Amino acid sequence: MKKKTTFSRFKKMIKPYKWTIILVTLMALFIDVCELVKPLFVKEVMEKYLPDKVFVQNGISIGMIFAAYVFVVIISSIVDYINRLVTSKMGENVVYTLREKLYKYIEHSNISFHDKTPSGKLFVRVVNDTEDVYSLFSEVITTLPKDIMIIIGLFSVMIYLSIKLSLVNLIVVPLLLIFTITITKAMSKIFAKVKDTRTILNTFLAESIYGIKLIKIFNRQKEKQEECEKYTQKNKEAAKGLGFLMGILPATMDFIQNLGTALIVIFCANKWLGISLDPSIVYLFISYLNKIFDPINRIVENMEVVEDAFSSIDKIYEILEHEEFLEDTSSGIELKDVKGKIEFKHVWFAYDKENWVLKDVSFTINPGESIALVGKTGSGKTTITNLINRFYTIQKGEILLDGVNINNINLSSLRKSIGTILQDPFIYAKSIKDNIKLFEDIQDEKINEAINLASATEFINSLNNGLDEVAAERGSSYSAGQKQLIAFARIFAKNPAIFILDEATANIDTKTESLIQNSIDRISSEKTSIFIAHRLSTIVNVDKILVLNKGKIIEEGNHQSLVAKDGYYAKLYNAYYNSLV
Amino acid sequence: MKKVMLDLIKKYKWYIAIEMIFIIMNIYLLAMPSKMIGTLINCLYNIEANRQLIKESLLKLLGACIGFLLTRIIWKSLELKIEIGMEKDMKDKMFSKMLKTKVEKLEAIKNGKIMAFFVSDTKKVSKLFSRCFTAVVRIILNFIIVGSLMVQASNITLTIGSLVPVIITIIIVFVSRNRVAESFKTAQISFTELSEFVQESTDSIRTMKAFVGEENQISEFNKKNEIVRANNLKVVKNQNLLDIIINSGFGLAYAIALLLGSNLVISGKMQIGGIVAFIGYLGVLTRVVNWIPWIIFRIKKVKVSMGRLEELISLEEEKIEVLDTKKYEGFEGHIKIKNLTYNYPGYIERVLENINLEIMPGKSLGIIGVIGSGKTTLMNLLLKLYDVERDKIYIDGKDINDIPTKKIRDSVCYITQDNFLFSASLKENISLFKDEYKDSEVEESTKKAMIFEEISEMQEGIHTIIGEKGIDLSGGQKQRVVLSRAFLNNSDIVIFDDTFSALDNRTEQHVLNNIKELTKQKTCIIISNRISDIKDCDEIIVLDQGCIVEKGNHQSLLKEHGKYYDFFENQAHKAKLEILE
Repeated sequence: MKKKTTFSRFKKMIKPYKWTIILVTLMALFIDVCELVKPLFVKEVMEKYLPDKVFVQNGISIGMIFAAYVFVVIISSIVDYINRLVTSKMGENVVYTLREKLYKYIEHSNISFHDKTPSGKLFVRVVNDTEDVYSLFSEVITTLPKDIMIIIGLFSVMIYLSIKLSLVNLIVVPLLLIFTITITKAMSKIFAKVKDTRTILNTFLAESIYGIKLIKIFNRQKEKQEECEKYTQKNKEAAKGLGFLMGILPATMDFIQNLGTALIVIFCANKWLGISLDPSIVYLFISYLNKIFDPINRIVENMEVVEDAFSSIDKIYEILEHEEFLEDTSSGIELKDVKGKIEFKHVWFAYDKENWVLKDVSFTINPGESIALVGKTGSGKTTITNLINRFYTIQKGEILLDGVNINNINLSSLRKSIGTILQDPFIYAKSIKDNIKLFEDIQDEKINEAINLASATEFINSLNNGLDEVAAERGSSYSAGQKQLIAFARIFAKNPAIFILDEATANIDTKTESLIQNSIDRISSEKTSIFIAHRLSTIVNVDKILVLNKGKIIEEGNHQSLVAKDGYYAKLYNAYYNSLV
Repeated sequence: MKKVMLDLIKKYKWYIAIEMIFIIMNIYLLAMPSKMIGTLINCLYNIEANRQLIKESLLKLLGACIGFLLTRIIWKSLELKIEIGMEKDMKDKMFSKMLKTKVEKLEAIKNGKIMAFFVSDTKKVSKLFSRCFTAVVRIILNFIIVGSLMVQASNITLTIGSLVPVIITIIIVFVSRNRVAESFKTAQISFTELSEFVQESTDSIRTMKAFVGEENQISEFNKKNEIVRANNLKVVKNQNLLDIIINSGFGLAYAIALLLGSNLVISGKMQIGGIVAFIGYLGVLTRVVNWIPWIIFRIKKVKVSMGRLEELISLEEEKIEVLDTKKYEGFEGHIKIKNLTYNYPGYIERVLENINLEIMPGKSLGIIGVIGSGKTTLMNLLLKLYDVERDKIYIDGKDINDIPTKKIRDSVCYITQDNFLFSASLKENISLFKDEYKDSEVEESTKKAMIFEEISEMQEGIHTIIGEKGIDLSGGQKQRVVLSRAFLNNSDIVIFDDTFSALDNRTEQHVLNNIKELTKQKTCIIISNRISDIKDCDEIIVLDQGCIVEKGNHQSLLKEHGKYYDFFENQAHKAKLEILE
């Protein structure tokens, strides 16, 4: 049952190439026919010219026959070349489309999908699994139809030449198959063992490289060297017998091939079973028999490629066929001139079923207001910011932006009106300028202005190439604070109606910290802004504080009113205040 | 590198010699059946007169086949033995090289890169010296042996005449080798670019979504996808072009052989079987020539690998002096640092600037500062992990450049901040693979580090395997395992580099008390970002951007209302936020 769905997936994949496949098959047939014809030229000469010792027979000279032979060789080579090119191109196109579809899916699927799918897995699907599918085309489909047809062709011709002799040789073929399959199996067993020991060795090496300083600090070079040699030795021993198998496989092919030849000669020489053939026919027979081994061998070898490719196709389609994770970014109301009023009305939300993360949360943020979310880890602070971005859909209640339910707003236009800064902003391996522009066409003037607003001028000027400096992968050469500066510049360049900021708690040097504080102050005084606050200075300055506990808002008000209320928040603030006195 | 390779080859010179002998025999035995088949075909024209010869030839054919099988198994086994042996030797050698290399040199190369050198490059290089080497030798020997058999079967004119197209083919293959290799390289590069792009995309989904980058990213992906497709097709074209050149070349060679051979037969200088044998020989050469593109490609790849290994092997090594172990003298623990300024080799930016410090024997020093302030660098210098100028750091009045590295590392116990554990047993992780410690001693150290109870709850106690192959420890548990090392090690100076960050307050206090007990008679340095860890130290310094900005003890520093006070205030606030949680 499972195989059937795989095959239907495969069929779906190659459906657009129906005509190409027909063309390729025809070409393969032509090549096979050429292959069958080639020995006939030699046979012709051996039968009609050489025994009579003449150069010309019926007006046709040996030279002409071999000129024809060369012609056939060249024509079939050219057709073969075209055939491989067309097949490879088809393979490339299939893989191109597959990659395109996968990537599109990844970009358009929602955050729930990404929460449950590790990014490493997605990477393997797009990059490695599609390569397996390509191998199917470049290695199998270029040869398989050709090989199957030639095997059938060779058998037919051999049976036509002599049924009895063909039967004798049929004994050889199963022998060959059994042998090849047994050896291949034994070999893959050893390969698996080698791979296992290599994985262990590699883990050890990776660990040792990572811990090299520790080894040095404690003077444990000798111990580690011994351990390394233990693992390399095991890896070496695992490969035992591999040389024997690798030696015996092709050699036995030759052996069986020659055995077949010997059988033909013995039967003909002794006229067993009444076989009596002209030597030229015997030669032809031997030639055909020799041609049958390579295709059989190739088919056996390719079985593994087919298996890998089919399992990859399954893995890829298991992702693609789940359309329920895709986000709709095209339909919905386009927002214009967003004021920035946000309302939560009795919002209930759970990431999975009944584990409510937010329970009946209601609040309003008026345009230009700034609020701070305060509460312990897991109280729902980040969830609220995720919901405003509609990264997830709520189960009950509604969230309104400027009085419109956000579910009815066009997703792209919703997110464009919100600017989010995460604790650890993602920096792309692009120039700083592109990192600030980020997917949009923003003019240089505006970028410079944004950098000024983010107080990032000094940092960017300190880079060797300034704005054109290309960041390292994931911005790894910048500190947490510097990444925040870039993220702020990004947000100022985008200039959205609403700001959401998850304050960084990581170690930031004092100078950068004060620069970041400047930006925070600027944002909170001008824009609708939501802070997940970790700094007291931020909390004191905002218009409204929402204190969250276990998914509920337990207190609400500004700093003064909350302190006056003498509740949860006041307890916190007083404790802090007392510690300073 | 060359010397390393030569040493490796020397070790296997006898294996290589024997392998060569068997390869020569093997090639001869592979070509022999062609001759036999030729003879047999001859005999078939007159079976009765040649009964004896047929029998003989069949026996010879069978003998050649068996001989071929045996020699093939032997040389292939030897080849693999050399290959696998070399791989092991090379890995061992590279590992020991790494253990000797200076830390600063290793840190300049990324861990992933070192791993790639190790895992794939050693394999590729060892393959070159077995498989590619034997393949090249076999090609040359085939031409010599089969060539002389050809001459023997026919004459020089026929041999040279038919080999001319073959040689021209080989020349064309050689001339175009750079083109093929070049197209391979471009294809590889574009593929790497594509996979890096996918990696970045799957890692940055949230940022991308928040900034509505879907369409932008998809079109950028498709551009790269298109480039990959185009470059792959170029490779396919180039590769297959070589194939048809080889095919056509041999087609021509066959035709010439048949034409000239027929001439010889007609003029009575050769029998028909001679042609058959000659064609058989050409068949052997066809196989061989088909390897050439493969070998060229391999050698190109290996050159890159060799270059990378060379890069590793030429890294500067640490000076590890031989110590007279009988006469071990520890330190009193007096540390003095004079006007120390440090920048990483090749960088102008100073990591440490004008550090002056003195720690008296048995006293403790606390160091506080944000990430990047130079704390760890200072310790690396003290342990001679980095080179330091003369007249900068003294231990017990002696310049550390005059103290053997081994002695310093034996007498200074440096607990690093990265909580690094090997996938090994807890005991091995604490004793760091030194057998001389008793279980009870190790257990005692875990008691001091406050992890004993949790370990004794595990079934295997301190013999429990942790890490990738065993159970997972939490961050706090890992840190306490690492801390146990300090209590096991009998050293005169103890350094803790930010090693309490994952502990809760109560555990931390217990551990700190035990450390106080341990270091009563020892010099102790504690690096931390937490005031609570260092407040009891005899002296405290505040590092900021490589400079000592404040110096004193807890009380005096608080009064200063400077950086230290900022740390204090900040942490007091955070502690209060925790109350709310």
